[in-house]
Amino acid sequence: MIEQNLNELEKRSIYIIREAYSRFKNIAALWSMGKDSTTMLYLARKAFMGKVPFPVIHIDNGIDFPETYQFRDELAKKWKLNLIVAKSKIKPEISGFSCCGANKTIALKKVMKEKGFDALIVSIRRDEHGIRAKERYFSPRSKDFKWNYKDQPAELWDDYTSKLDNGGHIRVHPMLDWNEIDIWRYIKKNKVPVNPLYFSRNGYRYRSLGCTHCTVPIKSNAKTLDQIIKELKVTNVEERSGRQQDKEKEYIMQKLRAFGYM
Amino acid sequence: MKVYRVAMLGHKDHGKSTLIGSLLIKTKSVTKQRIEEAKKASKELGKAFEPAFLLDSFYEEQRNGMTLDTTRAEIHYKNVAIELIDVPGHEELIKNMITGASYASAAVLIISAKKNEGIRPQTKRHLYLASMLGIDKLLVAVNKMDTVNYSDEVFNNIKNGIEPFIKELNLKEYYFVPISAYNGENLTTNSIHMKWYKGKPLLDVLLRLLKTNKSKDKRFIGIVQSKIEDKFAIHILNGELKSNDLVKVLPQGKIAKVKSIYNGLKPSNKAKVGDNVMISTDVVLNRGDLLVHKNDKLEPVSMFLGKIFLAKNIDKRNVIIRINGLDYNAKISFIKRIDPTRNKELDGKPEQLEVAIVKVNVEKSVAVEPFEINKDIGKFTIFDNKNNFLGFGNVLKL
Repeated sequence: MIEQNLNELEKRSIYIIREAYSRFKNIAALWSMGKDSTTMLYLARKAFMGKVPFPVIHIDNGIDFPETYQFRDELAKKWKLNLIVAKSKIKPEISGFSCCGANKTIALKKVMKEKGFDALIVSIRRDEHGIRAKERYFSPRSKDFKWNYKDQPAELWDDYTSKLDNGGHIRVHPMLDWNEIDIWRYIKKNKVPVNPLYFSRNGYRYRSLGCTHCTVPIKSNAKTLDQIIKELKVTNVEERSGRQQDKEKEYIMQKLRAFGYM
Repeated sequence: MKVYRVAMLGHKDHGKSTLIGSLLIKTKSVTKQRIEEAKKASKELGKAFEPAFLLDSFYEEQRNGMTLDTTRAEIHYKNVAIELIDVPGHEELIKNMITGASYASAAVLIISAKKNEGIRPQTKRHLYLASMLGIDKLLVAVNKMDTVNYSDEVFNNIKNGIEPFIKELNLKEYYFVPISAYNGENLTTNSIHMKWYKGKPLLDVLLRLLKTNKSKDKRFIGIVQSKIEDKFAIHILNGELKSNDLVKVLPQGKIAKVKSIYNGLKPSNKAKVGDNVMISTDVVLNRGDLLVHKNDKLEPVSMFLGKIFLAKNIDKRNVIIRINGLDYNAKISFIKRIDPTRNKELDGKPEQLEVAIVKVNVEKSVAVEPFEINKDIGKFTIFDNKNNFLGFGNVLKL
């Protein structure tokens, strides 16, 4: 896995977060308590002298891991986050595509509408999935959350679109350039707090975190940040291989994203 | 590790995505799982394994065998990381091509050697656009050499056909390499089929191109992103800023004293190129203001000459132009019409996919410089009043 220059990545992400903050009236960020969105919040603190100046949304379906809830509450307090918990209902018979597609997206739509957010920071990365690699830094979504991937706006140099459909919003992607291994190297270098589920217990660890229903751990003995970084240097397995919704059918990620999934 | 960004340019079907796919495989920069997925997708669509599917992940892209939108792939070669930016070759997708190419400092231009393919208008248009986007290093990959029996004559004809155009565009550093992307010939090792070619394989030539560095000047330029409480968010475009520096604020024209600098989570005495800092000053700054050293010659103007590329027809003289992060009402008047596929002046009104020399009158004064001198503050984008992208431009003369 390619290791990039962390200073350059940090500078570009902070630039994008600040551009977004100054261009939109009412911006929020999604926080899953995973490594990517937690790193993004750390960068936002660096961008604004230690304080995240926008609300942070957790889409909570009630079935996240206990460690995840504990991590959320502790860090929200420590970093003085303006945390919004948006509850989504979970139906036991629904999983994978329909779960993330229906349940989480419905909850997100509801909170976006209630609070009138016009932009949402989402910590996706280009190396996660071929479809995510097609994203812009600023990516418009229509009123019904659709991603018109066939007609994305031009995005030249460091200048991002601020075009808004009536009632739509802009997804802001400050972490697009980062690779999985860069996130871990950055976490180590800056001592960014991290969800304990990523570290090996009984020979298994979570490499990508979703809820308890659709995430499975991978075989791993990596118990420290150094061991995780070492493991990633030689891995030949995709990061999201433990995520059910990615594997159900070909092009599923494309459909999920077109319908508003993160 | 520094990552070099390279745009992959060329006419549709000349093999841009296939080349990137092959490079990913050759340099082992892609997981087995991704290769398996691409194989599976190829099979389901009843096609032979297509390395391009490693990039073209939209369903529509795989079914129709064409790239719709720009994407990126990273390769690792001899301890250098290179980000290859794939762009669509179709004319109607030029907006996506420009988006992808604007991130790069170097380009690989792909020209197919296959019979009836060769140098096309779109090949030259991509080259012209690359120079307007600020790309100044070029590698021309003559592809599909396997379809012409690896003939040096075909290769030389293409080289001689495109070289004068490259020179006209003032691209100073460029190389030619014959390859077969699909068969993986001359990518990382010299091909046994082309013993007449005395140069290095494609990736080694690319490394040489990327590693030559121009020394950057130390002139300070900062841009104001926003105001946060009583402080200002500044992005440093060039040079260095220190506390107690006196800076000229443009277009306001006032001189400001930098009272304090905050870099990240800590106060700091100075900031350098690329940094994003918070500063406090004795002058109120606005988004889009430029900061330069107090004796800098930069002055705001309300009229300049520009060269623009029309992504769409520009029917009305009144447009919105975005400069230094702000939108302005502006009037443009056409002076010359240029066909970018021949670099020739034409009569009449410039149309979509053409280039024009224009006079730009801006409603307010703006601080700009010719693109040739300063890429950071010598460029602009053009929109209609509904915020639809019409094109982009370079400042030519003040």
